Amino acid sequence: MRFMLMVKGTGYSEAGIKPGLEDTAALEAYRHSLLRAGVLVAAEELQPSSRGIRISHLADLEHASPALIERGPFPLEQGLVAGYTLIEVETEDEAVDWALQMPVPKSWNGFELELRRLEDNSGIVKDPKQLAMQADLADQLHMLKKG
Amino acid sequence: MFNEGFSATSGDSWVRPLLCQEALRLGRVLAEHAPLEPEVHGLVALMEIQSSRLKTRMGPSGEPILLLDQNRAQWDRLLIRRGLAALERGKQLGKSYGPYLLQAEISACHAKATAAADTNWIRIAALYEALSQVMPSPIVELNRAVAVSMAFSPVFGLQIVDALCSEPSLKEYHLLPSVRGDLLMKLGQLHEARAEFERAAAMTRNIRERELLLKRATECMRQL
Repeated sequence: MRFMLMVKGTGYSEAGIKPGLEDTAALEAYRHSLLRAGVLVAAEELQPSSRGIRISHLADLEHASPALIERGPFPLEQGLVAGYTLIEVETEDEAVDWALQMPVPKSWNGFELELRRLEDNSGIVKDPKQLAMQADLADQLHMLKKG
Repeated sequence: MFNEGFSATSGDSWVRPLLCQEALRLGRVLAEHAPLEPEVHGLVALMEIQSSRLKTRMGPSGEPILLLDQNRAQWDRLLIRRGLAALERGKQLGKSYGPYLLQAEISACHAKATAAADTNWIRIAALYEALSQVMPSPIVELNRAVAVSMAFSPVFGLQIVDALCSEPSLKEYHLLPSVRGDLLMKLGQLHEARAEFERAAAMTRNIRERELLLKRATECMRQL
């Protein structure tokens, strides 16, 4: 199962203040251990929300209204994401263990981490071709049952 | 575009034939622009033949009607003829068969059978084998397994499914135990079939699908 470990934004990340050298080295070491354990799928840091763009589509079925485009910064209280680490593990406990090991940047004055499990599709993408083949399979199975 | 019209994941019923029609029109245009490309003819053939069943694959209240129960007399013969012609055109280019040409061939096998019992399953099984060479995928293998079961025996179909079961990346793929259950049930191995249906039910998040699988499991129990 895959989990996304989301590092929530802080006043520091929003101000674009990078963790110090010591913190960066700790993070590097952490990623190496994820890599060695074969659980690391991806890890990225995001730029502050001041570089972000929000698009909202208002639910107005009567009138086709254009999408609303908003530029950052966005309020910190909204739980902004400052970075993520995607891991693939066997159990939820394992994911929590890894999350607990993530080094806390000393220069950041504390931070919050959120774990979210990704939908499992076991590498099988729901593309239209796939769906068409599944329909064929249903037809064939039906014939097998009744035949 | 065609698949969206055909499988209709959403939208009003009148949109669906229109989407298919438009996809078919684009396909026919493309075939004239790239007449030397066999896969274009394959795709057009596939769409023409599938379209011939459009009217018969849905009941009055919008419920889907599977191939076996469709009224074959109502299949659109003109579209089937056009499809078979496109297929022939693609084959005559003398290149090796791509996925569309093979899928069109499979679809043509059903179109040519005036009754479901006349279906040439040996040919369909061979075509799925070829398809799995050019487009390897678990869903193709599952289709092949069922076709082989129809052509020869579910014993051989089961062997194909079992080979897939050893694939670690497919261990959460609910269609595997589901198809396995159907094959075992056909072979009269009801205890094993029931276990497979229950396993498949536990794997799927789709509530309707889960209910159907559990119903199959109880069916096994009743037949014991």
